[in-house]
Amino acid sequence: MMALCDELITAALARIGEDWTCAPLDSGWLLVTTSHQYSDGDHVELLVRLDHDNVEVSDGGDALARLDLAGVNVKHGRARDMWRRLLRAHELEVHNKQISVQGAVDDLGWLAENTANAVANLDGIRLLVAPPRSPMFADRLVTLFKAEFEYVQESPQVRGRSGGVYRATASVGDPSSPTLVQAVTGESLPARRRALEHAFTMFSDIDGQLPTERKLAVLNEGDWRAEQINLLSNVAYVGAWSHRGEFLGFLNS
Amino acid sequence: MTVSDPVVKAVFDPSAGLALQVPVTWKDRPGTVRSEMAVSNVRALPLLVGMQVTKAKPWKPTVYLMLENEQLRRLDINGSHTNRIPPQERWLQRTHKHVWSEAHHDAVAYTPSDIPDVALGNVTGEQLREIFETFLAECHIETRGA
Repeated sequence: MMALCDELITAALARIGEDWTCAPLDSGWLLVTTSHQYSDGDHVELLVRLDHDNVEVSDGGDALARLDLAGVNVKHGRARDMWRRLLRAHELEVHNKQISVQGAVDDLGWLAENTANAVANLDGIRLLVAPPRSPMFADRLVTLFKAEFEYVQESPQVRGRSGGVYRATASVGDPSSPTLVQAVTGESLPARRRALEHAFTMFSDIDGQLPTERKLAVLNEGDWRAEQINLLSNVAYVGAWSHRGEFLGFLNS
Repeated sequence: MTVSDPVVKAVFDPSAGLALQVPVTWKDRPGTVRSEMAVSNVRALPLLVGMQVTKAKPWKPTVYLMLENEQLRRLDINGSHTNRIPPQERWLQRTHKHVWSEAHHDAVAYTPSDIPDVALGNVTGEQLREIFETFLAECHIETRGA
């Protein structure tokens, strides 16, 4: 049985050894590819710098950059707790957004192995945090505008004649004379009615400051009462998500 | 909406009309520089195309097309990767492109054609632009006004 153990360990170390490579960079750092892999199959790569008897090992910012790209913010909530806990467990620190550690040259093997292991573990935070919720209708509308128009301001504040202050969904189009947009949606009929009344109140209150052709209400899919739409159309152009081409044409006109 | 194989197929169908209609703008962030823009498409899917450069490893930019946090395509310049499916192809500091699927998510890659080589050192703006434009072309994203 011991012979089998030896065989297994030899084979495993040989396999791991195949994945570790090292290349010197012009900057004086070594670029080290390790056997440690993220969940997407990419290998953890480290930057290593030797200075006399000391060595510095860094992930080059990969851990934070990858999590950031995956929409994980390690400054808040559960992700922050896991981030801190894993860094402590691996005795690593973050400097200038890079995970790094310094030590004696004699410890280089351990420092590199431990850092690579930590970076792969930290990347797993993305799998543990709650998945992002489906975007709200207002978010979908803003993303649509961002795909079509160079100027899109989210949640602009507008003041009505009454002195009341409102947050619209977006301000879109020509920055010198943008169109104010309000997303109108609701899960239930009463919620839809309230959303429509809110849009009517806001657009009525700012009436006179903005002409109708610079006010747009976009209704989400669902049942809407014709008389309410008629009322809203007195103070704004009313578009529907299901007929996006029409309100995009309105904004482009 | 859940990202699925049919949704991905619809994204890359020529009828999707993918287009980049807004200028490419960059944000200087701590540790990285990133450009991310919404992609126009007939289904109004919240598609984002972007490029991220890690400041400490500028030779290793990443370009991606993302839908609801899933990277449908991700191009890793000079990255290291091993496919977990046979024949377990391996890339060592070599450009590869991840392809999302329900079965493997973003864990399978292939070698894309026409992506310009980048040396392990500093990268020029012209190289980044060429890489980004090649990625757009491979994803059938037309550039209008970008």
